[in-house]
Amino acid sequence: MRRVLRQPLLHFALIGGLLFAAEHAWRADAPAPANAVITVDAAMQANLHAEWRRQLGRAPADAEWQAQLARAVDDELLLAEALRLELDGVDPVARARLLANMRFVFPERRASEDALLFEARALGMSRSDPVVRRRLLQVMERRVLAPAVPDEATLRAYVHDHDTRYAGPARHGFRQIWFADADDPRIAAVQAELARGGVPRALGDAFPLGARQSPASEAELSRRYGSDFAHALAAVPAAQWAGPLRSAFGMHFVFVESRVEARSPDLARVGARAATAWAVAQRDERRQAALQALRARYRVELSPFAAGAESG
Amino acid sequence: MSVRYTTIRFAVLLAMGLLAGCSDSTSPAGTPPPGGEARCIGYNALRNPYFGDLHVHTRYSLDANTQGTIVGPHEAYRFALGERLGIQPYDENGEPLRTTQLARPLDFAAVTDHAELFGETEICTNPDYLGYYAPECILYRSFPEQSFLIFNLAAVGLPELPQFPVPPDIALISDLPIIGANGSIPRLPYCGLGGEICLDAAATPWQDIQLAAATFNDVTDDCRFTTFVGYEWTGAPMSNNLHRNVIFRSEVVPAIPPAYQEYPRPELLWQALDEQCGQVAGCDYLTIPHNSNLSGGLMFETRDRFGDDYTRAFAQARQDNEPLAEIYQHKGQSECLGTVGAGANDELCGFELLPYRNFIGSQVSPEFSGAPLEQDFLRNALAEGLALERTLGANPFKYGFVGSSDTHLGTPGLTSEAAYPGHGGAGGGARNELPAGLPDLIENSPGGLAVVWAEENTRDALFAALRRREAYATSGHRPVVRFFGGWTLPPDLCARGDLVETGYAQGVPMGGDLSSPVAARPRFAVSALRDPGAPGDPAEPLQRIQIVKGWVDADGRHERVYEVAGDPDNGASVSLANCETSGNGFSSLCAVWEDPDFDPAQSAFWYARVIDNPGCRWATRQCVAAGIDCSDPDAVPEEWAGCCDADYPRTVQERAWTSPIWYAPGTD
Repeated sequence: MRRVLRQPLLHFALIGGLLFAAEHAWRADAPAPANAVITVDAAMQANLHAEWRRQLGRAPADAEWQAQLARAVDDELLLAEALRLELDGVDPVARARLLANMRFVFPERRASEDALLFEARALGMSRSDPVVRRRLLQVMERRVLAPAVPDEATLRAYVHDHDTRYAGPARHGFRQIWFADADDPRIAAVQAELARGGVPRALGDAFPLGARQSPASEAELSRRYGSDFAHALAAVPAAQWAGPLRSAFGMHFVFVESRVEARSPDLARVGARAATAWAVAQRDERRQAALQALRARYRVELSPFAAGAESG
Repeated sequence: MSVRYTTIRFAVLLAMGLLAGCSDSTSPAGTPPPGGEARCIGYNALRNPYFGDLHVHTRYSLDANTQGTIVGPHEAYRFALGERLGIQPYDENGEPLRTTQLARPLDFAAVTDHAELFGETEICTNPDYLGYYAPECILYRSFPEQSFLIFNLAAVGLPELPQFPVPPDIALISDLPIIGANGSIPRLPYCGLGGEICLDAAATPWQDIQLAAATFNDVTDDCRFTTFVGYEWTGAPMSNNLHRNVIFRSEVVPAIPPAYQEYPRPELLWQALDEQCGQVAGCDYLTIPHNSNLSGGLMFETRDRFGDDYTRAFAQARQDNEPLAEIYQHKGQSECLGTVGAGANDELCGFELLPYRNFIGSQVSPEFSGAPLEQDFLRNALAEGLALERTLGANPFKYGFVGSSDTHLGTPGLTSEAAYPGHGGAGGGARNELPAGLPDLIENSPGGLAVVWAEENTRDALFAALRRREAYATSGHRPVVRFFGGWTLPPDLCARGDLVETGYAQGVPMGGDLSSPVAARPRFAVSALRDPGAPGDPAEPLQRIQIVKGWVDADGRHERVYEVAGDPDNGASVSLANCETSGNGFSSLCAVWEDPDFDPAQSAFWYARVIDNPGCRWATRQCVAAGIDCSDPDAVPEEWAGCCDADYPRTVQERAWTSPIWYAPGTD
């Protein structure tokens, strides 16, 4: 436990968690009114269409246009939710931008910040100012992506599904006598010695990986020696000379001196790292889930829009 | 729910709560110092070879971002572990149109995004920042391909820009200020006075990079995969490449990586790193220069920024901070040009040789760039280093070798000639649609790997090996190579089973220094195993091993290539019609070689080069698959024109370069 507490990952997490808790305590969520409506009108769609053409130099294909519209609806949902929560008055960047706009437009006005903000909202500035708009979307994204914590079953399943990352494979450590040439007459001599129950005295040829292979998994042995050798080695009984086994490089007599059994993932060892990987991998899905929940609370109205009809 | 599990619940919060800067947190307990007790099941006192990639760009690099790379550091590490990854381009729903996967996972990797552009990229793509609406950003979002040039040349190559032939359609470059008041390189205007806005923004990508490294670094005794926190210092004055990757030993790293704008010379970078890392408990770093071949004569200059000759202290600092150089990657080899001296007879210097001397060659036109320069290649620099050592007492260019990919798709280790999708960056990208023909410029290639001889697969053990240069480079494949030098190595070492024990006991491994002579001539043992290949990643057998020697005497610098094993005339060949190979090769090669020309009064270095039989180059494989017929040039579609470009070879002989072993008279 003490060791866990010293983890820098945990320190990150604690501070992040505090920030998150503070942000949520700031403003409790209340359900949206049942009759709230999201509108993506023809003018907005014309803008989207024009922007696409400007960036890519062509009109969007139908599927591309539908995807673009879906993203626009998502943005409007997030924006509506942000305004309902009055985040434009809470978030420092959005607030400062609105106040700066108002003071620029009405330099003579003597009014409190709250009064200026009220007017800015009444003018629709929180929606129309591009900086405030994008900022609110970012803040909402951060809120809907608020720390996801896998429950224990989810984490176990995730770790299980990614056993190439988290499980401990079986390992095999062995001594070896290697002959580069499969027809080397010394091979028969070693075989004869083994058949007599003796211990081979030959050293074989110089093997750059060494006469002793440290414990390695079958996958690692495949990468170094070739898969046939790795497969055969895994089946060799421990603590006795065996072979010769053929590798990508020649013939090996082997003496398996250590075997580590395969271990299933241990949450105590890999849980924190796996949970982080899980949370990062969930970013897209959690965003979609949050949007789905929002869609259920708003009615979406898409005005009819004919792509060819917009001017210029 | 157990107490233990509750701590996991806390830990996961960091995925969202990373925003707080804690990069100087204390290190986790239990990591032994180099040479300490074993941590891993796979510990081997006589060292194992670990294969990795120390040069990887993700979406946090602006040049990758403009090309449509949305792969981040988390995904890059998952890819290195062997998981399948979707890559650019993407369809209307954000689904990738291509996927790729390593045939063999890597043992280690470092994401090394361009530090200079962390802030700029984040601001341009994140509307939280007011700079989102700066003209450069609008340009970046609207014309991402062109903005590669603007950001990379304008942001990091500015001071000498007026001398550079600016293409007429890129007006922004000449509108930027030339140089900052305090001698630093100005960042783009929207970064604010002194660049504070961009420096703040850089904290977010930098923290995500650290989070990804922490998440995928295996700290259990399985030790299956190691990450390093790193970044690229991206200096390229007048587009002459001085780039260096900075690799940190541990998770203790500077709060913001020292970047080119603030530290516009390598020695200023090292000063900053010494202050922000070297003097901080638990922090250690090394820098790895790359693409000296594109440095326009700058990488191995022998004068400092004031135009003064190197001093002994300067030379020693360079050697200490920079034990390794990237000898091969996506943008060509930096081993040898082969135009002068004995190297002019080394036909193997033609391997993956780019025909220009700086980035203008790939981004504007080879004619504007000029031909490559011999002084930009490592073999030449190593000899220059010996000469400087005689006058200064320290060798500034004592470089060992690693290879890496320099992928800009977030795909570490994707270095196979088979199914190469390009690496983006200065090469070809695929932002909006699938490449119609070859996915990269014909002169580029899949790049190489770094191989490290270490006791176990941990940050400490690998970093210590990088420090002592016990590392070698490959051209992307996976041969195993040992290289020992010593005065008393037994001549029959290849016929004995104790090569490794004896090599260490009676000699020094690659990267080391010979002691003063106790025999007339030094011996070198080199032993190699072919890459056994893997499904989807075939490999050719070995053809031969050479030892390359460089030395200096009163007459100047010399070099010579010795054939020591195998057979250069083994008749191996490859069909350009179907890429099938024929002829015999070797599954292993070994030689003990005594230097016949050794003179104890001459400083020298020796490195081994291990050559495979020829196979089809990446482009040839794709050209054959597409049925391109170069006998009728008019019928070849333009996007496949590279297939028939006679200036580039159709075949490739994959190879490994060991770090050298050095000798200097008077060494103890």
